[in-house]
Amino acid sequence: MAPELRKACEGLSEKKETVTEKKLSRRSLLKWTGALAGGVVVGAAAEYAATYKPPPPPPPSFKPPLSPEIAAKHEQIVKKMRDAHAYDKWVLTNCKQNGCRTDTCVLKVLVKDGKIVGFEPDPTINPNNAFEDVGLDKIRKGRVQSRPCAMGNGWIAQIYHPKRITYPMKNVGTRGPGAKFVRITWEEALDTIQNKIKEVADKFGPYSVFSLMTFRDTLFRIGSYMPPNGLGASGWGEQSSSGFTTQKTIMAGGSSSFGMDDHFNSKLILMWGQNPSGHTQGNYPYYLKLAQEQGIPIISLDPRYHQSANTYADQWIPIRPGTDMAMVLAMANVLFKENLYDTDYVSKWIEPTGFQMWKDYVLGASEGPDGKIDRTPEWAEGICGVPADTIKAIARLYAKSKPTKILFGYGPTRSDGWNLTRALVALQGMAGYLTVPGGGDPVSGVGPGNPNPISWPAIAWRAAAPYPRPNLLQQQMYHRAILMREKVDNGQMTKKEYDAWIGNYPPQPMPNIQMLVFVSNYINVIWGANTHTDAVKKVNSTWGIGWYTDQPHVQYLDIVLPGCINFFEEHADDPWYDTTTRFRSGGGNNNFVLYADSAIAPVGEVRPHMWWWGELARRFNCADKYNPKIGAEFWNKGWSLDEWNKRMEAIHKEAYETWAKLQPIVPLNPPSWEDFKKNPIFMVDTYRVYSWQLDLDAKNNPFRTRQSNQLTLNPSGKLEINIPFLGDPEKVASTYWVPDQAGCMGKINTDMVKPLPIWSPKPRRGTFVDNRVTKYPLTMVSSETDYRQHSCNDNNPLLKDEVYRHCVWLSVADAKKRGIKDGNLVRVYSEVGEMIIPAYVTPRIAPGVIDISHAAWYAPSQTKTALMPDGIDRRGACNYLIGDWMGDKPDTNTCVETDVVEVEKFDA
Amino acid sequence: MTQHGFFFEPDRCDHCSSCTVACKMWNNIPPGPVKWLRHLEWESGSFPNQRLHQVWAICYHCLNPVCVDAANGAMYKEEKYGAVLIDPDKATSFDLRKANEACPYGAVQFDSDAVNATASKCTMCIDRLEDGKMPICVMTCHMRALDFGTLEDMKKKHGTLQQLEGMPDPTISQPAIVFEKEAPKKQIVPYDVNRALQLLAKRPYGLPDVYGSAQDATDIPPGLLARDRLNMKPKNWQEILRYTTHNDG
Repeated sequence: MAPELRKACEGLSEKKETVTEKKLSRRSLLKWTGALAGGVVVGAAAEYAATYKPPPPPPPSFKPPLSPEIAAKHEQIVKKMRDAHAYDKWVLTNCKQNGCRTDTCVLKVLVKDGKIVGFEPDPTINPNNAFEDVGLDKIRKGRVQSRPCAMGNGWIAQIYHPKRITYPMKNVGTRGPGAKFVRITWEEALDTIQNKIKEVADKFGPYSVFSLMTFRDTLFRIGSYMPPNGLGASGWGEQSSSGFTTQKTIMAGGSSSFGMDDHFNSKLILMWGQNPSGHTQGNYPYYLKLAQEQGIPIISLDPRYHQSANTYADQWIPIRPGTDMAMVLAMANVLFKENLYDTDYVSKWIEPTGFQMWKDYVLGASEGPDGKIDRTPEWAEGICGVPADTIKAIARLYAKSKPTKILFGYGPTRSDGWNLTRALVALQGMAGYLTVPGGGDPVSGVGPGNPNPISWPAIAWRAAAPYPRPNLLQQQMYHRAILMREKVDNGQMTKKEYDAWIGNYPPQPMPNIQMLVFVSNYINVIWGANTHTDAVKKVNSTWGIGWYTDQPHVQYLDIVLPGCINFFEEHADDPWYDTTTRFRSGGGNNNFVLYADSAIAPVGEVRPHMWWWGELARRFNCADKYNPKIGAEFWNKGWSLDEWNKRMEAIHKEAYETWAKLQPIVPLNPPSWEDFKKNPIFMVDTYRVYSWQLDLDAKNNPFRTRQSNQLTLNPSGKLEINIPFLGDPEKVASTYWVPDQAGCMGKINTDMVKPLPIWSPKPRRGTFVDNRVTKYPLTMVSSETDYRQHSCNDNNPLLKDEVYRHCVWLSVADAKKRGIKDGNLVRVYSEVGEMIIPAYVTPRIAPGVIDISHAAWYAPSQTKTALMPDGIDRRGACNYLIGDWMGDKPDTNTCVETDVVEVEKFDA
Repeated sequence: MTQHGFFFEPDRCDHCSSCTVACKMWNNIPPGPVKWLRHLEWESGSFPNQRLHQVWAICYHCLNPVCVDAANGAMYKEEKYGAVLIDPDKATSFDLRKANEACPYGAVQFDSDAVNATASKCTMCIDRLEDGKMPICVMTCHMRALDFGTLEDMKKKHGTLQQLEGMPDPTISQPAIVFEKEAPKKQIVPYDVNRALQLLAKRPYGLPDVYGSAQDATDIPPGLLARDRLNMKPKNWQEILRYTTHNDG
């Protein structure tokens, strides 16, 4: 290029971007965020490019000669690159992060001078084999690598994130946008918490401390050890899956799962509301792709044409949210009318009276709430939007494809889990697929998971809890328990009414929640987020773990303890848990155990969660019971990383050696502890393709009668489509608590749940047929994504705005109607919240439906409105748009992630 | 020299972006426009017959690197693996803009739109190759949509297709990559699109219509969508970000 042209070009250029001045050093990693936010640079390059004519292409024989200058330099260039990846230590770990679903992948972590310098995939199996074409036999046995996903590779930016909280803090402002944090010592933090606990317990009684968690076993486990009588209330209900596990338990006596390779045994796969590539990284999507490559047809039924539909579904059929039940009934109708169901199977496994009642309902021989209706494909098509001919064709193909696997996601259970779950189990039963490899229990939620082939080493950390905390409410109803309590105290509400609203069991005492313990960004990931926020602001005291200063829940804490990123800094059996477990296994194939030594010392003053829970226990004189394993003397020494690691290793060594001597393990020749530490992964073949097979092999009836609390499950010893006791609301309300898969007891809302799985004919909230569509015509779904494990990773600069844009999916029809183009900022609002985010306009979503993916972090703007008292959301946290509409009968079918909204173009 | 090269199978790619992030992680590249590995997803068709297309764009380390010819000594093709590299001492040379213009695939990356921006590009992970390890991108693909080896082996194993829909003609530059062809979608069960569009326009229970005519759902006026074509040579960093970030998050 001529020097004068270059000079002219330089004259045109604006100020150089700051990022260009940065050396691409490891240190710059810490300073990434916002580096490019500075605005548009209209560089001369673009203008130059417009006029530039490339030189004529060299002839095909052209071999560019290496100049002597570069030939001399090349070795140095490569050496410099290699030196950048020098490491002095490596460990294996896996991202056991809740929200990572099926497969927890193995990461080889490279460490230099105590800092993580990179990740690689598991080096111990099929190393250096990118295509990994090792043959189906090995794949069936789970003998394949599990590789880091985008989040796995992106952890490096999360660990060293500039907003990472690295020391304890106290809030000297107010809860919410007015929060103002100052640094304090661990001692001050834990002393303050100790004193607050005492104060709250003295003032408000034993049921005043509550830990926010999606699972029934709340995380204030320490309360069960506090003398003299224990402290804290607990809750029932499991937000993720009890939308379907209870139903399966009630009709089948239990639940089953299947292995990843079981897809290869299917003749047809219906991916019903499930998007494995969006919610499950690891190998599950790969196994589905391999199934498709083997010629097994896969059909995706979903309002969205998601990446799974694109990658391994042969065909996508859009269906409206909340209307799946109509389609299932129509498929059953075709099977009955055309005699396509398996009569032998039905007579062997399904309770006959209930089956006949179901048949009568489906064929319109008996009355449903909407009358005697023949539930034909023609009846269903106007509801679900799938043409009748297509429903018929799917039903016939389904009956012919023996067996078919239905991959049913969490999504469809969010509005009608009770009916839909039982109907799908009934359908699989009719077709004869329920107990057959390649078919199976359709409602697996997040996907397959093999049973453990062998038990892994385990550590019993705790003595039995002397004072169990009672379940006084439905876990997700803590906000109502807080907000409504005043009414009871003022005599405006009876205890009976209060108990009904929060899901308390009548004879039990009422909770009086005045201290909330946060172990995650919970208020951000639960529907009705604004109401939850109101409750959090109201209690006497809040404290908990925070990982980043911009994490929404941190703004509502009085005391913040710095969160450990467990799989690198010290392992816990889930990121928020109070227990260290360095033994890890994957979900999915679940055929290895690895010892995950800590890769690095916790950054700053971050400490393992088990350490500070133990420190708190020590302050309440219960460390010896709460954590006897680690030894009472340990807690008195103060924090020392060396001491900690020595103790952890000794405890793990003991557990490993005990395990290695167990009878079923000895023949597998596990290595010695020393050898295991050098190559810290022990893999075996996957065990079973299908877990009901365990029952069948043992000549057990999988649907045998079981007793659970007051409830007799499967009294007929067969699969039960009709559950008579559900027809007696009084009995249900007063007597029966239903266990889900994990044995968690929950209540049933008999307004929703009838003895037979039926179509609820009335317009239903949050679905496509919600009465409020006159004002809010778009039904929101909130999908899972590759880039957040629930809300975790939302501020990761290697992901956010880098590989994805968080936005609202808007169909072509809906965008045109509103004058919106892709990239426009839009205001999305519902009855309960509003936000301003960019629009993604796409043919990939059914008209009338929008998608805002789950659990982005609420980012309040300065603009406060009646709906958003802490500020309009600028990030797109879907839960602020979803109403708190569980009603006055908290159900086991708890999770609600849908509501109706409107979208309009936003002009600033 | 044994020319090494890559393989990409678009139908296996579920655009998880693991390779993109792994590339940035391994090579310590900050977020922003410098994307040695660009996952270029584009959309075609209209509801309900749309499709996503995946193009996996790195430097294809061409056998006939027209960029090197244009780069006036700022780039070279090394002789062990056939990797095309930038001389780091000349990384701010404007000749690299010329090189990128010459490259059919836009492989050279600039950290801003300024004239003296620093250029960098995919190195074929030559540091890893020297350690006997495959490039980080291919090793992190959970769908096994990628492969790496000598170009000869890649061709033997995966065929000789060197151009996906929308990509430039490979004849002159001879990229060291082969592709699996994108297969057309199958129809497993009959689906009458016109009927579906009628049904989806109406809501049951006397609730208001969703849209009027079928064209409301299918006609796409220009400018409505953002990624309706493959764009391998974006003009500025905003365009780079637009074509390399997707919306499934």
